[in-house]
Amino acid sequence: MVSRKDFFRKSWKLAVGAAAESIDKRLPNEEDFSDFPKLIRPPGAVANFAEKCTTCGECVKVCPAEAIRVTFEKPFKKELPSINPSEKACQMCETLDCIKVCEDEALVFNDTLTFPKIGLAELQKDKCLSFNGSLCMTCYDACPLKRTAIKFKFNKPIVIDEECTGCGICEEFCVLEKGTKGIVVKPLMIE
Amino acid sequence: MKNLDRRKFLKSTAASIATASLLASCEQKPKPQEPLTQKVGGELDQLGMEWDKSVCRFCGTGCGVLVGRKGDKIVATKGDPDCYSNKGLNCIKGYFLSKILYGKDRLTKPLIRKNGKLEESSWDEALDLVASKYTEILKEHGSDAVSMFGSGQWTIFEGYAASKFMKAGLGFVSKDGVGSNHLEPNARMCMASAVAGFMRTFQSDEPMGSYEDLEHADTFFLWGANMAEMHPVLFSRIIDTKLKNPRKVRIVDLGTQYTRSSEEADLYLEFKPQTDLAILNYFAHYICENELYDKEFVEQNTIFKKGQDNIGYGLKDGDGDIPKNAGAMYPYTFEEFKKFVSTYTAEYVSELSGVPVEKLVEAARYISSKDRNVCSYWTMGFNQHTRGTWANHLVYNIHLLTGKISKPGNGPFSLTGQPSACGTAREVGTFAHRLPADHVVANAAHREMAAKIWNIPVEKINPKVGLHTVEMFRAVDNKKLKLMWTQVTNPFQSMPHLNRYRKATEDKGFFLIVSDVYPTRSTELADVVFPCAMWTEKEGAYGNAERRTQHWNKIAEPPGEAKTEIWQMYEIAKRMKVEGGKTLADIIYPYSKENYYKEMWEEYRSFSLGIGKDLAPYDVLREKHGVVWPYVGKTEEVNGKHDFTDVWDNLESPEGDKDKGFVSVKWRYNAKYDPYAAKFKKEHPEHKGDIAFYKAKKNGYKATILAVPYEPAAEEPDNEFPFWLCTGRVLEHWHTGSMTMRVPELRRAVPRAVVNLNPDDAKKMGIKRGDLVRVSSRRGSVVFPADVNGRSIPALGNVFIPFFDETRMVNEITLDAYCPISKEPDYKKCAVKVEKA
Repeated sequence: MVSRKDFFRKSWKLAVGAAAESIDKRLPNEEDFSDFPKLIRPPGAVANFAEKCTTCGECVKVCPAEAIRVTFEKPFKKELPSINPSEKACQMCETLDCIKVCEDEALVFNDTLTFPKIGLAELQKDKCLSFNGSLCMTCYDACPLKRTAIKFKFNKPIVIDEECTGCGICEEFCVLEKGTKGIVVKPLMIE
Repeated sequence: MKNLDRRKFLKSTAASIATASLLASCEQKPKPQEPLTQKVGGELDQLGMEWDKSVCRFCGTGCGVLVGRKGDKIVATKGDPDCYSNKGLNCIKGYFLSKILYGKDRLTKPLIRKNGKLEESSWDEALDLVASKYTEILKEHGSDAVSMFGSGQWTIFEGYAASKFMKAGLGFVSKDGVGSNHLEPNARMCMASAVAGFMRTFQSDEPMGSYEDLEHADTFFLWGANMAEMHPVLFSRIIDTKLKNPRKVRIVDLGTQYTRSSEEADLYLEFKPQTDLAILNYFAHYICENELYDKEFVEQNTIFKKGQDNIGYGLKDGDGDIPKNAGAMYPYTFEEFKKFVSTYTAEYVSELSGVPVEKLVEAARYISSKDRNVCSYWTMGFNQHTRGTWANHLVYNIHLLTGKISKPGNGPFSLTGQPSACGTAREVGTFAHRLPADHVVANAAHREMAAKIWNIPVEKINPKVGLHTVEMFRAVDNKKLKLMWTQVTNPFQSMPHLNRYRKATEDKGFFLIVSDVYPTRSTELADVVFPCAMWTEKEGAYGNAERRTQHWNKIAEPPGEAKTEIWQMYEIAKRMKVEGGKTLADIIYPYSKENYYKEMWEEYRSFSLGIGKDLAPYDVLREKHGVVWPYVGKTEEVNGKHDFTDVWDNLESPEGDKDKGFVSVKWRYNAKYDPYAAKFKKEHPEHKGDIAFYKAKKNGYKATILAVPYEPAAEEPDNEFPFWLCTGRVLEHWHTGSMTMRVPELRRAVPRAVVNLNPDDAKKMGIKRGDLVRVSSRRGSVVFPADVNGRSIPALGNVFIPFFDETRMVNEITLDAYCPISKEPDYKKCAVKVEKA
């Protein structure tokens, strides 16, 4: 069992630094993971989330945003909860009932006061309107941590990696079509 | 591959994102000046699309767009790189432009109110009904009982046709034998103060500079104008200028709320509403005190006057509380002026406005510095102001004192909010007091001229100025108006003090005709609704804030039975019989079927020639991607006025066409660019300098510097209503949202109006983001969700609410006070209380 704090620190380190390498090593079969980079776990997911989760579905039931859904995940050969921000993003609610109801220790509280990081928003500069001659500020406007996690400088949005929680509201609100979103949340490398 | 992308991404940091954004921004730098060569239209591209030029349907920036048609539908739009106004850029509204045509609830059939319900009808039935109503009311009550309320979104052709319909045509039908001047555009609520400011200062409407100033200036003053959201394309040009020279370029934002523009600004002055008047006077004082004025320029080109003070607020019907001499200007001297502004010391103004003295001094230093090129930009913050005309005067004062005017990179520039506020409302003159090209109905010579061009007896033009917008709606309430036709506008959502005017329409004796494209809060009150063709479903032309006229062809077919406003007015006129067996249409619309628009344009154009307002010929407009007026020919046979041969060779024409015998004047009043100014200099050899305000003949060719004081707002917060309410727009939605709310992407981005609160105020009241909040004034009360720490952060004690949301209409609480000179209502200031709902 990884302590919440350790996990948080570690996951962040992984995300910025050596994550890619370690993932490469751990991936048993890359093809099976074709869907993998798109899956974002609910808040507080532990490193071995897929292993711990028993698919009881409680987190799905309590999510006030109805953001958590369950899909079958090939690599793990079972149904698991995840979030697709293009459809419905985590609302960063204060109650975090999803963690409270989890009895599998798959979702756990961190001991900091910050909202658990579940991913990281990435601007798609080839698609984002602001980078392509049409001025748009929807992601900036939708971001619950406006001016902190997404800044708007020189008429373009900038994601501040350290502050972004990966909630995905920016992706949900991005005016572009699903699949061609100008900002996409990538999950943290924790599994 | 994916993993590789991921790795790249993971290694990238915020810093590299920032750098990339800089690079991306540089890539979009404006194209160098070169002649327009690209020709669009007619040919299919590889996707099977046909492209033609047009102009964006939304704001006054007037971005050129290329419109892609596939089959009979418009499927794509993109910024037009050959249009100098936007150089290929668009905002998010422009990106989704084509979708405004295809909302599910487009009006496709005429509607008539029967037994209280709007029911579909045939065009003949609806037109016959309207024509008979018109005739009946005109015969019984005269032309004083009918009105038309139009728009700065009218195409120039529509505005001109409407002006003729009302001012030239109705006199043939009405019992009193004169036309009606009760013709107003919604631009009264938008630009009237700027018009009054221009006319009173320079005796000629519209800015002297151009958007090109955005690249030449190094100091930008934004006066209560959130350009980042409201004129994003222009703001991005400011940003580009800043990125090219970050050490020198300064953006100074003055406002009552911290906006996206404030975020990019180097200096942000947050003042208490209405105290902009005092700040402007302080700047003038600073310039005088430190002798930073351009002595030669002031002597040569300006005249000092004192304005009438204590001029009322228009709160009583019939301009009741406004003194007759509200617009009077009295002789004054420079010394008296210096003494007058000397009371506006930094300390006094700081106390009044809440802006720290250091910030005031710093801003004053920027605006007056001799080695800075200064541009001032403003929109509704100045114009929608109970002292809007004064605010416009005061900013001209500063630019006139320092001589920073009419030169590349220097000048006061009034931005417009509507795509053709300049082109239609102002140039065509669809106001109660105006005729085309700055002519006015009260002037006998102007009426003569109009009657000659319109080929009607001069008596048919009514010399009495009509009702201005607020008075027009009050006249409905007072049962003086029997009929109103609104076109391309939605006044029953956008008028201030809405409850009063919505209720007024319930009167059985009042007949309301609404021409629109979608059901709105105005169509729901109408007796007859005409479905309209919009934007590229008809031929049109708009004129933007930098005097650029942009023409487009009809590109798509309108849906169902929707028809153009031109057709509607023609059909009504056709149904009105006049003496001699003719119809009204024969008299006011004598154009041939094949060349209807061309003939109309050339007739309209003849108003503008030879007086420094020269519009381009129709064929040139069709060809070029926007033409800036004055578009002056070297020699043209208009009353022999046109002969610039002797000054022609030295003129600069940055947009070309000099080889064809025309110059497009980018900086008016400047002898380097403006043939009229050059000619003036030639004829007045004693005149020093390049700048000549040749239109201000009445003042000895001098622009007016006007001494006017700070006066409080019409309604200020008190114990019962402790907050200032300011209303406005958001980037995603345009005006009442009748178009943008039909675009799913824009609707999703900003689905409803919210009340923006200052975080400290919200904390005090225990209000969080998303909480429902009741905002009430003496006139009404509406519930909005709260936004705390949102896109805009109002100053302490201020709230901001956008007006696009038809389900929560903020105008139910706004106040219908207006500037006594320009008659433009103040949407930016009234007192409200805020409580948890």
